[in-house]
Amino acid sequence: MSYTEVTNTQDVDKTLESLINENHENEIITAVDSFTDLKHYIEEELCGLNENISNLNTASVEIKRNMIDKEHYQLFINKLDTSFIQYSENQKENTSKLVEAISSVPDGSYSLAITSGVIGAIVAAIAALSVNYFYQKYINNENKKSHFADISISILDSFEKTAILYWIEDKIADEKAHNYNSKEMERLELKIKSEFTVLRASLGEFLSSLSEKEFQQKTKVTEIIEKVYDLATGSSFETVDKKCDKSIAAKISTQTARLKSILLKFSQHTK
Amino acid sequence: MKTLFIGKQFSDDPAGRYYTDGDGNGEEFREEVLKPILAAGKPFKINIDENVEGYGSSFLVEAFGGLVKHGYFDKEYIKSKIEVVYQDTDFKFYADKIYKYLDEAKYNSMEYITSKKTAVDEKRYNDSIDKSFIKEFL
Repeated sequence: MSYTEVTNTQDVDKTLESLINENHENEIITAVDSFTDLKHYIEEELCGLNENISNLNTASVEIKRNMIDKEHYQLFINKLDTSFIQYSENQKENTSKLVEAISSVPDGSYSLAITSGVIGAIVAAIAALSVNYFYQKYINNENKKSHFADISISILDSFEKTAILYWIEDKIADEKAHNYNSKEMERLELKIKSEFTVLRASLGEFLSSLSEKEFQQKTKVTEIIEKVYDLATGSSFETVDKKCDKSIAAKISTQTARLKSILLKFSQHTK
Repeated sequence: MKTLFIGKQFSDDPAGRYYTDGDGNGEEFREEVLKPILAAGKPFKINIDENVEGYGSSFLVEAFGGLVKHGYFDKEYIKSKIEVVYQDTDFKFYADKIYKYLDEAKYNSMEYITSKKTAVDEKRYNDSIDKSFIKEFL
């Protein structure tokens, strides 16, 4: 009989008792050995069992601690939820109060609201008027520029003809001479001076309408008009024995042409 | 500071360069008005726009530039004694030209030879302008 067949204490006792009764010494020894082995086995198993129990204890402690942590976290999350809900409700309440405060006129301040509205309307009207004013001013200025450029060209044409007519002939003061022309020359002298006055006034208006960006044209026109004045009314102008001077006539023609070329640029503006 | 009115005290049509060009010429204005007043040394104003329509450059050059050209006074002295004034802004052009002619004239660059005798002899100049007003500037 093998010890592995012995499964419980009663069986062992019975087996031993039967063996003793039957006086089987060898078998008893074998049985005792088996029991020793069994004891060792049981002890080893017990050892493993203890170790397993110890591990189980450790695991259970860990689980328990985790359980505590989880509960703790759950509690914390619950508190957070409550706080968030409270915060959200407060936020909604405050926002609605704020919206109400902004969109409503406080008691006793209706006059302020009306005044604000009126001021707003006035400011808007002033802004609209200003834009309109500056736009009109710009348009008027452009029209003025074009208008005086046109007029100046027209006067310049007449002035050029008069001045050239004056400077391409001698002044003959002798009344007995067949080509006496002193009176005609004096008439031309007067015309040159008066037309130059009108031309200068017209160009003055034209120049005043030029912007700072058109400074170069302004300077050129001023330079040319001074040259034309010196040429047409200088030298022997208004003298009794004024001689024909074709050079002066040619220079007058050149300068007036330069002036016209500048004025033409502005007279054709279509802004 | 006293003011000399060209248009009211000298001529309402200042024109011409020399005496031979008739009364109210540039030479006459320079020799019989400006020169004696400037020689007196008192600063004065010259009104150029009242009762005058305009000036030819021949008159202005002879009257003002001639003061320097014939060596009577240098341009700095003249500019320190006279002040050209006007109310009509159109006459700024002539005022600027007067100062320009003074600046451009070369001091004592031409000997002065009067044309008055010839003008009187030829009856081109009648000496019709009363110039007694200059006494108040002397």
